[in-house]
Amino acid sequence: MTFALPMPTSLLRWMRGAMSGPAVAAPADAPAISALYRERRLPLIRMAVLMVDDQPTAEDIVQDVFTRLYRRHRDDLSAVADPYAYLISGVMNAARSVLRRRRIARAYLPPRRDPVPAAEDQALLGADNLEVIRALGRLTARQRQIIVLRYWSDLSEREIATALRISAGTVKSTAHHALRVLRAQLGEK
Amino acid sequence: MSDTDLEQRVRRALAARAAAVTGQGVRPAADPARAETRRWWLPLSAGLAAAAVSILVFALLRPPAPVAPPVMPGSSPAPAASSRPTPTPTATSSQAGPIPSTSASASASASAKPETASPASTGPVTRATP
Repeated sequence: MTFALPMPTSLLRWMRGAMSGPAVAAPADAPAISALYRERRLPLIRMAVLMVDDQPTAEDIVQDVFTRLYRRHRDDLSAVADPYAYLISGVMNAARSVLRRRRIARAYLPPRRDPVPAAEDQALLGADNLEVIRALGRLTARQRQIIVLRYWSDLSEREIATALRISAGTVKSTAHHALRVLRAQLGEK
Repeated sequence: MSDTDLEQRVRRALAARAAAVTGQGVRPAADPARAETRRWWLPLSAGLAAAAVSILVFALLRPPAPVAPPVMPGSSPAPAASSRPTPTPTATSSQAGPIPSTSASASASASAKPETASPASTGPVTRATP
């Protein structure tokens, strides 16, 4: 009887490093993932909250994206051209997947009334802002991504296109369409 | 209302919603590098535990081996079975008869006397006269 024991990846990496000779130090200018995590975690959670409207889910999304980045590149992020753009792209894609799963789940569940916002949220946001946030929730995932990146992250159309891997023309037209939908929903003529 | 007003409204709402998420309200979590190095032993120990449980279950549930019959202290070992076929005394044909099976020949050789069982003592088989 034989057993296949799982070998920890860190142990394998240590063995590989020990056999290949002296370890090559990461470039000094490459940002370590721990520093990136400390600096960027909260802004990314905020961005994910704007996308999925749910803080625990947003925290999970950001943690997953950081974990994936670490598993792929470890502490040497020199191979990543712009780590922050990479993280934004990862968070946006994960948030879009969450919204898609929610929409599919909603299609198979009996219709429910929209949840009543907490009194705390109403007090913090104000009625006007809450109305806008609710209208944002009725946009498609792509429209919402572009609105968040454009009006909260203050990214240019080119940067948004790079982060979402779409063309700048698509960004422009989607933003225009999203604003038109928002205007219609907010009752502005 | 112009596009700029709507954009300002959207900006304000997004900023207010984002500001509601504070560092104190976020669950504390270890950065992935530390979490990864802290848990490297988990799959190893899980594998070892699974292996130990499998071996224990196999040892406990294994069927018992068959018990050999006790051997009498003074008895001689059983005579070896002769693989030579015993000729039939009533053979009337030069053609050989059916070869007995090993177990049958063994029992026959064990019960028959060696003189009568030997084909040399019986002589050549002759054709029977009518």
